[in-house]
Amino acid sequence: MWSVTLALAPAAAWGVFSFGLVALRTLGAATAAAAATELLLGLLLRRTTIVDGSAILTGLLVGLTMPPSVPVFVPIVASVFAIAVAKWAFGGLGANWVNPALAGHLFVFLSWRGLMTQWVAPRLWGLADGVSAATPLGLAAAAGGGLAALSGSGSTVSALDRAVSAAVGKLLGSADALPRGVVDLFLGIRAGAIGEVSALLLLAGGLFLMARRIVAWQLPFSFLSSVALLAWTFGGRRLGLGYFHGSVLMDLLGGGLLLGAFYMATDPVTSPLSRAGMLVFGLGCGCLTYLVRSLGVYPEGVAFAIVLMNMLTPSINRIFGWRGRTAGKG
Amino acid sequence: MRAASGFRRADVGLGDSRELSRDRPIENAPIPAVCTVAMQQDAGTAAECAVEVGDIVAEGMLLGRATAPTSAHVHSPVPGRVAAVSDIRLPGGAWSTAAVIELSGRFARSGKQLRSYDWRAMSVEAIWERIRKNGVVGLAGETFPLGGPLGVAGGGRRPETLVANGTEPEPYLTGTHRLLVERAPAVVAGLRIAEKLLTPKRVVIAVDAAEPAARVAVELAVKRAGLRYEVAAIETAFPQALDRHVLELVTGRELRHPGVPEDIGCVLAGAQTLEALFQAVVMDRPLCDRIITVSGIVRAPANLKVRIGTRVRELIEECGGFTEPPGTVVVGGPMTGSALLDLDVPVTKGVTGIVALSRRACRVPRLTPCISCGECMRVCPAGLSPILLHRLIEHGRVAESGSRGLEECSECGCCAFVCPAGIRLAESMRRGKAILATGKA
Repeated sequence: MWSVTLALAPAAAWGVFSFGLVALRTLGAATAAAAATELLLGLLLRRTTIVDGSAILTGLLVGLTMPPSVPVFVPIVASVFAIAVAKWAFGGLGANWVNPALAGHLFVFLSWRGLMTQWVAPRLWGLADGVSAATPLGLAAAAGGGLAALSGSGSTVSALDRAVSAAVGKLLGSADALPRGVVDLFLGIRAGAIGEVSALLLLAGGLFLMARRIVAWQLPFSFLSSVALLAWTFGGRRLGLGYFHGSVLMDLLGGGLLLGAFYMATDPVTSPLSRAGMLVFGLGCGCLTYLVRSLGVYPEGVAFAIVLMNMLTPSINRIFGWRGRTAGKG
Repeated sequence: MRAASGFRRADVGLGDSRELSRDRPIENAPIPAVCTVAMQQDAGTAAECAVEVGDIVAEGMLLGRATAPTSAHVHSPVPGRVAAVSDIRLPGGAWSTAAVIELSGRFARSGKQLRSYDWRAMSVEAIWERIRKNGVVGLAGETFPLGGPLGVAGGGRRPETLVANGTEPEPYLTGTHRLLVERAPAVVAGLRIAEKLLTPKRVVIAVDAAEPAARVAVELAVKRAGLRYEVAAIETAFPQALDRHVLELVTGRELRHPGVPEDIGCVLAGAQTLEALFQAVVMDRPLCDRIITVSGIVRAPANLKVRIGTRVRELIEECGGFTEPPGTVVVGGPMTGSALLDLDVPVTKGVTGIVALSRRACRVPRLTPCISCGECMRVCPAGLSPILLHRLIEHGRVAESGSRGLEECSECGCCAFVCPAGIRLAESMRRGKAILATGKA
């Protein structure tokens, strides 16, 4: 648990740099509320569970899925719901069927939809001047999809992005060798939830967790690759480009996919036991994410996808939890 | 020469504990003043005590008579007087009748030039008779009497493959290794006798790929004897040197519950067993001692030739005592052995090693809830899902766990070893298997 928290710290720090102290307040409120709920319930039920670190991690994850300047009661309600209802009501750590952080997030998202979609533009000491306060996926949904949404109407990419794109274009002799907006998306110069913006730091943390063997590669791999495959196949259709012309990068980097794939879907309690089960779980998450994003009313679908797959985890374990020659029996 | 073949599933990473005693030559342990010789020396049926209090016994004299084909004779490791016949606790925790011999008189055999017999000239029946007479049992793993139906006899069927296991089943143990390095010709001679008895189509000697010295010694002994036995070097990351996995590696066939090696046309004998076989047949020596590795947190880890009936405490003292207060002392290996309740138990023919573990090494993580990490599944050498079996057993659905392969569990303990939540998975598997075997909870 503490390793996961550590792996998330750089991405969280980037969120605070990007959106200012208000983001720190949101993260702090979420984490403190989660820890306090865990302590209180632990006292009531005479169990000291705060030391396992899971409540702190849940609180941090709840905070990271919040818009930076959301009213402070929202992350608090989300964390209390996550710990008390999603986790403890089902028997505490190890017995919960749904990822507590995502349950908390969805609870407030569906309760205060307006507050949960009020984004702020990143500041970054002027580096991010001109970057829109809307999230890339929001822009894409409005524009019909694709990276083009970022640079379509005027200049919504940062000066850094323009400079790098131009330099790469010059080097390779083709103006759109590196589409505008990719650098912003990758580095996290964009609006969004506190923890989802820096693709670079989320990836670094994810690689750290895989190197430490805390996270198995199968789950993020099948999750990300199924989203990428679907985005590439169908993403171009709404822009009139036909099949196999979708912009994969927008779907991979533009929303909360990396945060979900590396840090939430991989929660061992609510994901399958076996590697094969993880591949199936990731595949399901990827397909559902893309379905919600492309056909649903919400621009983002990662949270819904993971929670839906959490419900299927026991069934996946029934099929894929028994290995080899014990699989067919019983 | 066969290439090293890898293990299909994981190693729990116990490090190189054999370093402690790998290079210590086999030494004779001091002769104990009192030998407590249990009538239950092996996994077979107990022998019947053939002496009474006050009897004077000579070295190698019969103390206990085999009562069944699954039983083996027991002989006196020392000359002396029977001081008592009483019930004692065995290293594994069970009770047995034992003859307590107080040392006195002269050794009739030890240190003397003994007559040797030519096994080639002996009939198969005469060899079997001598094995039975001298109380030879398997000296590694399951210690069944060799003369009985579960031993090398193999039920009378001619086996496809005779496998000599020259690997160590567990961490810390080095007795078999030392035996191969120092006395490979005797082991090979024992194997030739076993070959004569069983007439297998193929003979394979499994050695540890990480121990070139033992391999070279075995290859040399095979070559000198002008034999064409195969030498298979296998990797011995625990638990693959457990008998069943060695057979699977050598034959490439999977041994399933409730299979015995004969089911896949094999007979397996440990190197120490083969040496005892050689001694029994060629030197007409009863099995009264064996090699025991004393290791772990003792001052001078050693490989000792120990007379049966010596107390564990004496062996630890012989090795300089503990370097720190031990967390537990285990007989057998640290993974599948049993923790001793009492250091004054006598060693039996089945004791492969005595391992003292520090308090730190014995610490089990505080029990916390399972977070479904699945580590136990990834290390299980039998390809089972320990955590799912554990849940079934906990919920009283033992029959269902049986259909999910519970009986394939060899109780190697890897699952419990890796569990970060400190769940006693191996205990749970053992309990479930006991329920399946007896049919009651």
